[in-house]
Amino acid sequence: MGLDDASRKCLEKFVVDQTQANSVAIQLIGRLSGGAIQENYALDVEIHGGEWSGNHTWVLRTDAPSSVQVSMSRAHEFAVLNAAYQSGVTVPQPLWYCEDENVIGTCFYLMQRVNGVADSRALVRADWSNAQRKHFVRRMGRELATIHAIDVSKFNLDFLPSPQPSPAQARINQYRGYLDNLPDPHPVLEWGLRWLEINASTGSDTVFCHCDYRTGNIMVDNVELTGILDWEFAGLSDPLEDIAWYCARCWRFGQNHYQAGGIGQREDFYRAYAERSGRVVDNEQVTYWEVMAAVRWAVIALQQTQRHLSGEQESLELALTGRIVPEMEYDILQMTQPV
Amino acid sequence: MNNRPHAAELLNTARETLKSLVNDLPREKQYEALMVLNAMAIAAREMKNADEANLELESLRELYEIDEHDESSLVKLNRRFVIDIREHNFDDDSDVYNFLVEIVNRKLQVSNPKYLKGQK
Repeated sequence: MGLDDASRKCLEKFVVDQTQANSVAIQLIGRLSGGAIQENYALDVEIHGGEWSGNHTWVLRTDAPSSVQVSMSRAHEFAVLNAAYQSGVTVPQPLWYCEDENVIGTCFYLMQRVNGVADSRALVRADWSNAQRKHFVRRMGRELATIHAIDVSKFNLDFLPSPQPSPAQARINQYRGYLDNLPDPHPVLEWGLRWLEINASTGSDTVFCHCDYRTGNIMVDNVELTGILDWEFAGLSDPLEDIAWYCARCWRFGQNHYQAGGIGQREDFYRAYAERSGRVVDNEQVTYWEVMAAVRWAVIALQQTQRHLSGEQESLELALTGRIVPEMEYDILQMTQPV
Repeated sequence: MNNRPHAAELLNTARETLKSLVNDLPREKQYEALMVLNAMAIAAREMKNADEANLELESLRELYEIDEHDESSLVKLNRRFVIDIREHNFDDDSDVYNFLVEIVNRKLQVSNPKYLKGQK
């Protein structure tokens, strides 16, 4: 989508219909960074008449034309975002979903634009005091507890698959399937998956999870969280999966001394999560899910590298992604030593 | 045959030249240049560790007690290895674990030696 004049006019008409306005003028500000699968456009919107009369800053989110990797559909993502918003999670307010491909050529939805930037590398290198770091990771802990409290039955999220026979085993099976589709064998990842199978906990909770909760997927404005983004992997899982994904070494961007997202202390994050959720975080179980996190990122990295190697999308960045896999393998082995 | 500078030396020299140019590039291009520098460094280190694949094959043969004249390739042996791991044949096996650690350490020496020291 380039949002040419014709699409823009159709989009204005769509907004007129939704808002019962007299007129709507939309200005395309530009494409926002992030996501090879989805495209996000910043829009400035001027509405005359009706309840929405005034100036607005919105984001239009749609699929990239070349998108191949199927994650969640935009319709489902909109439903998830709406559930999160209604449940008090810090997310951009979702506005309308449009299924009609005649409007801009593909389905899309509109949401409010939030202030701040999503730049993980800059974020972990920010010159924050210890108090600011604590404040921030506590907020991330509370926010995650709010996400885990989303009542799926209340928001028609029945399309989210229920992990069987357990969240952990469902992941193990899924990642083995991904590995089977790759051309080369990967012994360390198989070792990690077998260790996960042997060491799986017998009882676990299953709740609504974000499933990509990390420093790269948040908007931050001046030490304040302004939005949690990228809900396309959301689903039902063990709450520890999100906690471990946030703390895993692969998402600290080199800031190893700040184990909570490369920003703050793990204990502060855990404590704030426990205070709001009532769930005490068992560090040993988090380690289990950090092994899972390392396997997951390694498998995704291998898939991305394969896109480069197969010629589907030649890119130095994708090529180099293949060379970070030993880092995750190292982490897996550090955590899975035989006793 | 005198073909100095060798490939790795050439890459390193080319790398130093590129490095001196990075700051002159517009900001949005610097990230790409840093990726090129990283790729060149990995390639140069790999050239110096060219026998890595042989070492891995040797260790795998040892693990499976395979005769050195057997022509099993590294990929073929690794395929057998992953099936054995998945089928519970190496559960909690310290020898297998130590072998995997050795392989990963060698790979990291090429792709990112700093990672082994706990740095990025």
